[in-house]
Amino acid sequence: MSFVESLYQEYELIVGLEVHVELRTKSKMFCECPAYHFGVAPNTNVCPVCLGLPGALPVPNRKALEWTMLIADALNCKINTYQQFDRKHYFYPDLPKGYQITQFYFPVGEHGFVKLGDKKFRIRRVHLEEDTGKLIHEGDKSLVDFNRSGVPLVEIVTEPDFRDPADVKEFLKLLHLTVKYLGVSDADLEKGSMRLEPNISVRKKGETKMPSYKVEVKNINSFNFVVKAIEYEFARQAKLLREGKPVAQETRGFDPATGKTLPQRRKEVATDYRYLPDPDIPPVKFSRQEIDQIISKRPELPQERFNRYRKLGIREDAAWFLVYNKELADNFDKLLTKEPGLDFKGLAVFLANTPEKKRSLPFDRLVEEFKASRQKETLDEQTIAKIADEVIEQNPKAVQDYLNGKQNAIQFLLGQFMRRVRKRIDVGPVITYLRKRLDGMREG
Amino acid sequence: MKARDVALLSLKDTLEVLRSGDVSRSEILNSYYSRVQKLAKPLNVFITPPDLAALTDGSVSLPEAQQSTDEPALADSPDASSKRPLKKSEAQGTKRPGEASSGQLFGIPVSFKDNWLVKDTRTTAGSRVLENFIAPYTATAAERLLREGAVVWGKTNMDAWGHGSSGENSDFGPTLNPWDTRYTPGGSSSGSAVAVAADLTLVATGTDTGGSIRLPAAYTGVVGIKPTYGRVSRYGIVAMASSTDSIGHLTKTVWDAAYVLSITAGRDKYDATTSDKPVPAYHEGLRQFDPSSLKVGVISEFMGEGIDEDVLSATEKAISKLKEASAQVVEVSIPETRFGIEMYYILMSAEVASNLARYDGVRYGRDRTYFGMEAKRRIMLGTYVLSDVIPGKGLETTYAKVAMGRTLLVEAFKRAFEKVDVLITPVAPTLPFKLGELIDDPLKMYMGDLLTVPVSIAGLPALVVPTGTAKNEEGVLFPAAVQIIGPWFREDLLFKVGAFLEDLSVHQILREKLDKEFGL
Ligand SMILES: [Zn+2]
Repeated sequence: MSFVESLYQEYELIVGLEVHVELRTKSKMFCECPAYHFGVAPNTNVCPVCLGLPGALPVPNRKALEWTMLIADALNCKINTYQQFDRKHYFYPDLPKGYQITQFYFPVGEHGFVKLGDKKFRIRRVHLEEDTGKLIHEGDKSLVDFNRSGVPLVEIVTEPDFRDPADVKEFLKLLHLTVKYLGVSDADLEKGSMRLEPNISVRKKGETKMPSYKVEVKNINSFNFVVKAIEYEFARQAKLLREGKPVAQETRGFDPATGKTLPQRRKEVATDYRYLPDPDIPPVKFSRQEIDQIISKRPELPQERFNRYRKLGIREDAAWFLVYNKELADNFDKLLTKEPGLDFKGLAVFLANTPEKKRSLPFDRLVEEFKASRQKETLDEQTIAKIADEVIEQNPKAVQDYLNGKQNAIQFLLGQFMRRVRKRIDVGPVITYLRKRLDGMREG
Repeated sequence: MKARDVALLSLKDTLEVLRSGDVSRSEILNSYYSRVQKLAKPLNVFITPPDLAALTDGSVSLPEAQQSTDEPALADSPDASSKRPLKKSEAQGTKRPGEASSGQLFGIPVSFKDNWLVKDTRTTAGSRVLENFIAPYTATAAERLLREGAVVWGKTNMDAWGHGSSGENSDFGPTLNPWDTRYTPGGSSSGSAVAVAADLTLVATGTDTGGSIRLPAAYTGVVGIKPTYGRVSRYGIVAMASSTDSIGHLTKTVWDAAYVLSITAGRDKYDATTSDKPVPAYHEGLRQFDPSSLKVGVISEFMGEGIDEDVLSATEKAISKLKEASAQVVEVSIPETRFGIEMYYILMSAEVASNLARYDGVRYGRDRTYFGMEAKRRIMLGTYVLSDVIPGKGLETTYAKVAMGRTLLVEAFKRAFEKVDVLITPVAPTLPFKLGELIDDPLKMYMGDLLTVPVSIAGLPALVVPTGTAKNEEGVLFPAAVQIIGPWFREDLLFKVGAFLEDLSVHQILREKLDKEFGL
């Protein structure tokens, strides 16, 4: 048993997740500036509000609230009819007001869950906040770009229910997919429009109390890195615990080059943030009917699409393949209504087996290829005779079975024939030929 | 009319002589300017004084109306517009006074309290922290005045960030009371009150978070309106305590105050706390008001302990005037007001600490050492108040408890207004105090807000009008004033009662005094 394996024998991993998703609304959370900020010249999408100038006031974006409700609903959360924005105070140069507007007391949604197979992972809350500006370091100077300041940002917080890094990855993949299905975010990990922060702690196996600390890891931009960071932290923390040393509550950064995490800063506790209901924004109230109406417009979720495909009889792996390749699946669905007679089970499998680089071909081309692959070739008599004679020669037992009256033997011989041909052919003439030859043998 | 007398006219009369053609716009500005030259410095009225030369040679750009301020709120039509306030004001043209063709305040000098942002003018909020801050956009309320042709007539002195009842917390030196320059004019809208009282301007804007319009109005003998919270947009005005900041103004008469509020009030899509209740023409029909059917309440808690005798008798005099006109006067008890000061100083300091967090030294060119003593005191107090937030115990924090107390106070006022139409109270517990008298005793200074802060916490409107004069124990003559408190959004009623009670001879006494002392 390796050293790390021995740690897993003795200790248990506990992981909770905080995931930030930037919404792709037209305007920012509290002002009229465009929310899109990638590749935009620094400090051009700004106004008094998102610069936090004296006297500027926030006015909430209703679309952002509605979209957050869609996310919360997709994660089976209870959606609050009374929502409120609060100020979270801390000092950082990219935070122009000295506080971030977020939802502390009354978030959009709470108490949700996600099911992965038989396992259930609880969602603590889904809330809406504003993104900060961005620091750019040039030599010994630091510059601030406020284009991102005030972009709507949804935070999804899970309970510390994860025990296995593989589940974390599955969960994140499904969450990512869900957000894309809802069409509310680009959810681009590379660009940072989806940010992943696992909270990791470790306890002795059999222990039921939650550890008194957690380590938050930031700057992770891929699902695989999340797994790596968790595995690294588990080993680091378990080793400290085994040595009888306490693990510090802190924020650490993940370094993809080394696969290690490094300390960033001590984590604040809630009282340091001095949460204050934002007096500039009256509480937002929705009736149940309004909420139901907003949610009724929500698009189909990945799990729902998967279930629909399974009902069509599509193979499980092919169904998941399509669900995860949304654009392909959207085209697939269009075809479902356009050509209802098509062999969709076959098409799904065909698409799933299409090599990755061919998947970018126009969908029509892929469908054509599928149909072409289904074209049956009619072999000429000579070829049929040549191959069939070989099959008969090499399978005396099946021939004897046939001669003894076992009609099924002809299917076996046909199978052998097909193995030699390796393409879709019209089998009628082959069967006719086989019967003729075999019946001739009986007479002879 | 003699040129020097033009500056003694009310806004109503000035508009009249302008309309009749008796006086030109430049005569008005010149008349005010000659008084500014003599009085502004000795009384320390302005942080940025009006510059007549710049106004007439066109080197100062006057912001113009923005077309879109009255569009539906962003919250109702989100995500649609790509219009941005900064870009819009960037597009503002330059127009000199006299070039606009119309407007309800065309050519009228309006002085702005220095926490009102007016594009391209310095806006300090009375603090050295913002000493070099040139506003890149214009406050909605200012814009509504400028759209009607008002002329930017200087930026007035104030307690830094609005923190203070005496003007002594200004980083630019205290403003002096023109009734006796050894005394404070009240704060924090000190410069605005004195500018109106000494006839250095026709209208001066203010902000009132706990009494900052009402107290200086009372101490200088002018009219001050603190509108209902949410009646006038706060957008573009340096925030003090966001949940009680009310945007109002100081004028020579009640009619003037009503006229100006008709212009500044109303829904602003850039302030989510503004109301879309319609704005009446407040100034119409003021004189026709008959108080005989009026029910007036006197708050018993405001008429006893802690209130000076001369203040009480002045208030009683005003009440008798209403009684003589057959108004019904009843005593009401609102015991919740007794906790007003405590509640206010918790709510306010928490919000102050939060609102001042943006002046963190990264921007505006000045670090935090430029904060004065009072701002530091309130930041410390507010930070302490907000430091007991425990996750899962949201409603047990000090701030949340006070917020609940606030609901009780609101309910208590609601009950009072079921019985009476308006409440009449003194404005401050004492007549003006001497400069330096209370500056080292902040607690005693805070008690000066005793009668104004309950109104602020409840978000009610209140009007202060001069009703006469009173002598303090040293024999110094000062104006006496009352505070008229009305139900939410009933400013119309306050102006009617105020027009009935106001004593215009009070201002005349000050004019004669200034004439003598400054040889005007
Ligand atoms: Zn903006």
